[in-house]
Amino acid sequence: MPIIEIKNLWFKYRGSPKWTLKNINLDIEEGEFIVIMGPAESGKSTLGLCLNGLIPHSIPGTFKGNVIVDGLNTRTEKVGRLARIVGMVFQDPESQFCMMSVESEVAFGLENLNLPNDEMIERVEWALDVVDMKEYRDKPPHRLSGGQKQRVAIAAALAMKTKVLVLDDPTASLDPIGKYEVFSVVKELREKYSITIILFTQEAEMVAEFADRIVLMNAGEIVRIGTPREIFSDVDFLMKLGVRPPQVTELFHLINKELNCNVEQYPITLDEAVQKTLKLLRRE
Amino acid sequence: MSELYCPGNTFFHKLSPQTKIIFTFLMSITALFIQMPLWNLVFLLAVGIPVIWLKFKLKVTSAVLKPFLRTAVVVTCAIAVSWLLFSGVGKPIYKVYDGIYITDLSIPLAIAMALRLLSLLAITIILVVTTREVDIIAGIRKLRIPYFICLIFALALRFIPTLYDDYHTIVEAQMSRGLELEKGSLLERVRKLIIILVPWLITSFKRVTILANALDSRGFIPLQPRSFYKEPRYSKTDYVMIFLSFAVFILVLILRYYFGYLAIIPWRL
Repeated sequence: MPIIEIKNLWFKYRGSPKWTLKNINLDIEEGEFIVIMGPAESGKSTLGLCLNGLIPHSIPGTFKGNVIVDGLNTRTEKVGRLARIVGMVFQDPESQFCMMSVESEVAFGLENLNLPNDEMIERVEWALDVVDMKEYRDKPPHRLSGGQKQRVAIAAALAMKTKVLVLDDPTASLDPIGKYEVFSVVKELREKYSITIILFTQEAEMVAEFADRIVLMNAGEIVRIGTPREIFSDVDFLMKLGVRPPQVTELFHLINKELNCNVEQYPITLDEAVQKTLKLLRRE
Repeated sequence: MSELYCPGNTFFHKLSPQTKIIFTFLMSITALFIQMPLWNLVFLLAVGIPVIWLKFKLKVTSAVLKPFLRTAVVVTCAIAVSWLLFSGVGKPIYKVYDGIYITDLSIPLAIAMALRLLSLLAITIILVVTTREVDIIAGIRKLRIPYFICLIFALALRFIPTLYDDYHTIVEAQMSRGLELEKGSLLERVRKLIIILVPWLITSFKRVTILANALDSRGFIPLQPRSFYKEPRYSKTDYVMIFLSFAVFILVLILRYYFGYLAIIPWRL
């Protein structure tokens, strides 16, 4: 049974004339790493908010269809209850913190779960260790860099040991170093833990390597679902949509077009590109 | 934004936050029951000397205390002057204006009130310099104040620096577009302030919306049972300190209301 089932989901914000999400159907299996990409205003963030019940419970609008999370329908379950299954990291690194120190921030969700003290301490230590933020435990979150803030937000979600982690464009407002920090944590989660990750992002390079499936969205609809290779190979389609494929893929596409080299399969990571380039050069 | 807390390992740092809150609360009330310049001075010295000691021990920079002191001077002067002129008791000794007199009682009262305020300030400084905000909230929580009230305090404290940064970003952004805050008539300046306030309010509302979503998605349900992370505990020193605070408080009450000391006009606080 999939951990998340989205069935015929439609959503329209209150006061908006058009549907932000149109007939979304998507099943996500447990342990999967799903990346959802799409141009701005494609409805990505809105879809993210549907996954833990913030839509329809906290955000007003018209909601049709069903989202089933680990057997629970988000229409009937409270967000506070769904929070035990779905952890969420928001795009804005600043506004999502509730507490005045990194440590108490991570502990906040655990206090809500009414856990005993020993277990809380254990989980806080573990989560701070995973994101490598132990030395900043006493700092107020607003004093941290963007990348560090998002790592704390990830730790806060991780500590709750949810089955699903939703990351809503966590690197949108970060500098390259911050992006790198966040993606290394995501990569580590991917490699070491069996948690289901749903990542909304524009960073094709970063996810090409380790996404199981990529979902492409445009104007509130899912336009394509496939492996990174399937999705990124159709460079023309992506460019038309306004989604950038990895630069190496784009490079090979342009070379292919100019020189007619007939590269049978575009590389999607730097390593692959190096191999392919060497092969091409040797052939010359 | 400067933070007031100064890390250290003094007697006051080792006290648990709830003890310090009880101490602060009781000593503040005690200060309000003393109304005689000499005794106010004694009390001020009693709470002021630890402050001076902390200042040197922790190397608290003047910059940290400056905003505190500036407000203190203004408020103290205002209170002293108002008691001096409007106390309405005693024999007039100097006429300032029709119906406004400085009296034989208003001079000591004004001094007492000023000293009282300075003692309140000193007590507060001890608390905020030796206790992290996070621990103050934990202390309030430990004193069985309902959690949602603590959370409101915590969120307010947590958002002050964020909103402060937002404000400055907006001021800088508007200034880089040619807004001159310092120029123009009063009306124009007010209008310019609106140019700052509107985007600031919009940003703040956005932040609050995200925060509400974040609280929800972290499993927060108001009034549900919850556990507390690293709850502060009482040590022996804490009990002694709480006992002493109560003792001083009760002593002052007895001195004032049973023996009739410590007050110039006993029927007023």
